[in-house]
Amino acid sequence: MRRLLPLTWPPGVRIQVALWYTVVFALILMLSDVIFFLQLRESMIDNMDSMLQIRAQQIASGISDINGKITVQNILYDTSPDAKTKHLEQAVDENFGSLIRILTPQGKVLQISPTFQTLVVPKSTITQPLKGQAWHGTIETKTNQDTRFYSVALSENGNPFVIIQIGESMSQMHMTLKIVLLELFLLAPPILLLGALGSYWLATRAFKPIDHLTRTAQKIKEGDLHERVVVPPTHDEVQALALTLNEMLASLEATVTRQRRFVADASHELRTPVAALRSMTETLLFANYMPQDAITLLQNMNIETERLGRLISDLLALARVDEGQTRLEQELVYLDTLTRAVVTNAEPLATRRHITVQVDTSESVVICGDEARIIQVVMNLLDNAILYTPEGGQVNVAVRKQQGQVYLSIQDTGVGIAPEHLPHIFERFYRVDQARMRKEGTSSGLGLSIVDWIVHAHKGTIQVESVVNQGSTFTITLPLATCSSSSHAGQL
Amino acid sequence: MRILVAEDHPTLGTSLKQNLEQSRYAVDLVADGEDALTMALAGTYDLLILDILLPGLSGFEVCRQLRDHQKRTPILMLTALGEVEHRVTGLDLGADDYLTKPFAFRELEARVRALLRRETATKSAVLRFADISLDTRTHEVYRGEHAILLSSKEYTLLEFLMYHPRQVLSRTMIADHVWDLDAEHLSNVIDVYIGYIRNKLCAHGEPNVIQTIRGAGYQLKETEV
Repeated sequence: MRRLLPLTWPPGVRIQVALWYTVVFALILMLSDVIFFLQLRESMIDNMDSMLQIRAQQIASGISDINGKITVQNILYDTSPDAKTKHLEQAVDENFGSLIRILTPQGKVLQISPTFQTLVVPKSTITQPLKGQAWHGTIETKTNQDTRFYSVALSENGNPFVIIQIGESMSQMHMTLKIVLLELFLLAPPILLLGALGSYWLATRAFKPIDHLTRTAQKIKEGDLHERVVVPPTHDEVQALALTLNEMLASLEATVTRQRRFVADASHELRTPVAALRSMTETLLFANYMPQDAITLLQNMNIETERLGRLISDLLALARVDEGQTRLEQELVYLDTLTRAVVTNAEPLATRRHITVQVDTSESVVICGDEARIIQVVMNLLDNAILYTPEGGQVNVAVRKQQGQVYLSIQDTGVGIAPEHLPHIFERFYRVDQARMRKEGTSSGLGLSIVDWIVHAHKGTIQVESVVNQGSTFTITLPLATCSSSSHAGQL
Repeated sequence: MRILVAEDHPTLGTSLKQNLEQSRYAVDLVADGEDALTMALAGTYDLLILDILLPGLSGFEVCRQLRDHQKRTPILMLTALGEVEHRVTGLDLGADDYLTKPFAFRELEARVRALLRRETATKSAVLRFADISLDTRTHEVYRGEHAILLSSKEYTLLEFLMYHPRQVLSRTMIADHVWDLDAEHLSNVIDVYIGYIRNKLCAHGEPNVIQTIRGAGYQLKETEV
């Protein structure tokens, strides 16, 4: 189930960057929202205060103190009985809902609006203005509603003679602020989402050169080490990475080349002495004066030198393949004839080991390829089959065509290959059983590697099925094709 | 037969190799004098074709050093230097023949054939053994009255055997003279090719002429009745 989830933990660097970016972005957004909200509230309160102040001044302009007699104009509620009816209508009209109170410094209420009585007014709103300092602040009504409140004293010749108190409900402002807050909250998720998407996009963009590098490196890994990644012209981390990669590739290439060169050179140098050894033992074998046990020794020497020669040849062949120096012929190959010839060639070995080899090459099969190499493939596989089959066993070789493909199968009743060895048998020098190969002493340990290479060089595939102690089947599939220009004279 | 071509001209070298391969020779190509010397000393060539103006060592120098090392491989000098003096120098250093550029490929081929049979008893372009005849010019092979169709490799192999009648030839030797450097590890494949040739030569019930010498190799020899 876990594997089905595309997300792994820890997430990829792009996701990480995007996540961190989003977190930082969210914090910044929150902070700015808080500052904005507080500022807005502050300025709304300031605004209310200055409105209240202006109203107070307007009211003040209608109040006069003439020789201790205070006259209040245009006020809603005159507490003096004669003024009561005179101004009531107008006052209600202008100041309904307003919270206004006019007091004498002694605390006697000159005028008061009806709603004012709902307010809980602290004492300081009277004492502070009398000291010459206007009071403003937030007070509550009896029903716990916030009200902005302003209280100021009017003075003549430094003596305060009247106090004007004016208030305004803050519920309107609170409502506005609530709406703003709600809007901020509602806006946050989409903004954050956009931010997250944007940052993911940015991260993707930022890592694009790295992706590009990876892809190039991938190609180089699969192909040959001659290639280099493209170094971007920008002087940045990506360029440094590309340069480092290229340096690494160069030193790798140098090492690999040295190694291959060494194998090729060594194999080449070894060929001559081995050939000399062989010709010397052969000369001795042809001489008549050798005693029988010396001849036996010489024959064994000859077999061992032949094996050594084959090992060197195989090594050299693979070294050339690694160097990409090998060229394949393109000629018509009559696979059925070829297989029969290889089988005929292997018959002495099979007879010696009492193994029956059966060939089924009833149809004519022609492919395009390097005849000598394909002979080598069939030969190596057939020799292996015979060597790994106990005496009295059987080897079946079949060639057939099917749906544009050629199938060549070599089946034996031999010792088989254990499943744990199967994936490795085409590796160089891989030995399933060290002891067994020593007996016949003809294989180099590179035979199957060469087979694998040749088959793949011919755009074919090779498959093995094996059951221990029952036998193995090697099946080669090659494309059925004819060469564009035939260099083969044909078989009779 | 196997030929080493030392020619530094990129297109001429390649086209020489291709043309000689068309004529059923195994050909290795090198582009400088040092490589030419190393390869000629180490390899088993039946003929060397040397350009004189080579980078590294000159063709003259390669020729001189080979003869100093007792290498008797026939050498054909190939060069644009056509002066009598140059030809004399080359031949005196141990070259066997001299061909001036530009040349007709047919002439080069004829000279190659002439040099190759210099080592043999035959003085004709047609090699004969028993009732087998092999025309080195046309690559036609007859056994008695019957034409034998051979593939390129089969022809090269038979030609090598025909150049060395009655000699015992080891598989390595045959491989060295029939395949070029790219394929020199294929000596174990020779048995199969010998089988092909034997079948074709004996298609009409004729006696076998390619004898297997156990532990040694092959020999072109009449069957003793």
